[in-house]
Amino acid sequence: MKNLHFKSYMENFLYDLNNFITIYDDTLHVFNFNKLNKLSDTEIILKIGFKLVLIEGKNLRVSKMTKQELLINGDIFKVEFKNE
Amino acid sequence: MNKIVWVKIKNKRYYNTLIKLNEIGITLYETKKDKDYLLIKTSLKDYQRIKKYLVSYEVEIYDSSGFLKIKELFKKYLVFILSSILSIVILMLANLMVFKIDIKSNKESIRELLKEELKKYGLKVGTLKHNHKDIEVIVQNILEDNKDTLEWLEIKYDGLIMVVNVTEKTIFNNEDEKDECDIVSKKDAKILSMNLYRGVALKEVNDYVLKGETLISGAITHNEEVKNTTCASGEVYGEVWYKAKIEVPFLENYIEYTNKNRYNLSININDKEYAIFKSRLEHKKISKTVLYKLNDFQINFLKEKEYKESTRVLTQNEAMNKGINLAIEKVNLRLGKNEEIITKKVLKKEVNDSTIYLEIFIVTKENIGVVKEGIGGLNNDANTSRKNNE
Repeated sequence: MKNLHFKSYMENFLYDLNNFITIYDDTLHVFNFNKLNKLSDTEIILKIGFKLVLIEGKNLRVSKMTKQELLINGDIFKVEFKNE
Repeated sequence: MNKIVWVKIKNKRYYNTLIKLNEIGITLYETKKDKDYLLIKTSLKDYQRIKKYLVSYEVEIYDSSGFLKIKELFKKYLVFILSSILSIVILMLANLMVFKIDIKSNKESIRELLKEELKKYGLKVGTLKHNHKDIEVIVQNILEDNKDTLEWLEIKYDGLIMVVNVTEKTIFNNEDEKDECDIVSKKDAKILSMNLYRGVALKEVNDYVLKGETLISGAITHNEEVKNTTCASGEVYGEVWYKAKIEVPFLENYIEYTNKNRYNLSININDKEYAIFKSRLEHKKISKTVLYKLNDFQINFLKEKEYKESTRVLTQNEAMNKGINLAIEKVNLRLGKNEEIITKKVLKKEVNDSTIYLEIFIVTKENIGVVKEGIGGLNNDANTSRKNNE
């Protein structure tokens, strides 16, 4: 019997992007990253696809984390995309 | 259902630990950073994975919820819980047991007899309490077995103490009847009533008698000849006169309660009482309520009522009434059963600057008969009495 994959379809419908970064006042939400390269209270480096994302700030703290999602709290100053 | 736990990881390198947790795919719902610890909220499944993969880290469950928490608490306080349950069981068992047997009798022989009887029916210190029906049967059996000695018996439980109330059977000793005795007057009086049980009455109602005069003789006579002797028995009530002299000061001390109340607790250990809190009232009246009692140990609730001492000046009438009441109280102390004050009168009253002096005449009804061993003065007393009556 073939699986219908309802959950995957719904996710694809709601998140039609492979990955995204959402920035609020003092919170940063990263969806679907590949690897967490560096983590400190002033700098976080993530690998998303073939790019590196550099997040700079102060008092950065991981508040929630799954294998592919990250929620960071703190004073965020800069988010930069770099080629690998 | 995935159980959520707070996990404590001992590691000062907070960010490195988080990277490692991400690498092994741990989901974190919340994180907290301490000086030497990293606290993470994760699933129990992930906790087991952390323990499996990060072997060099000191990892332990810091807090949990639901059944896991209960299980953990139970493990932690196992000794306390078990000892509490054991204490309750011991207390319940102790409550069902007898720790002391209190036999209310002045006679050593009765106490010994009852001890033996109770032992025979399994009522002894350290045994379980019997139910009401069993006790009733035991009481009946003991009374039946000792019907010559015991009149009435009651067994009841007061906490851990078994209280045995007993009334001894009064046996009228026939030997007493063989003794020779008279009933003589113990006071100067006028006879008001006479109940004669044994012997010959030598006086009649309304006769005046002096102290020591024979009222009922133990000598049974016929034609002025003593035929037999007995121990005279009877009750003779007479009118007795007292003259009370009393001096009452006009200045009287009295106590007045303020509305200040204080509460305290005290414990009694081995007949000594210790107050828990220090009392701040100088003059106080204490009323005590027993909260808990176990053998010689007792916890009491104390209510302290503050009072102050004052003085007042009595009027002449108030002082006189006080004097009369004092005299009545004093005479009442001497009176027994069926005895009473018939009348009272102030004979003399002298008022000074600070006191009132009173002479009070009090008439009482008293049992004036007293047993005197041996028989004597039968004819003389009887003759005198008859002459007086004439």
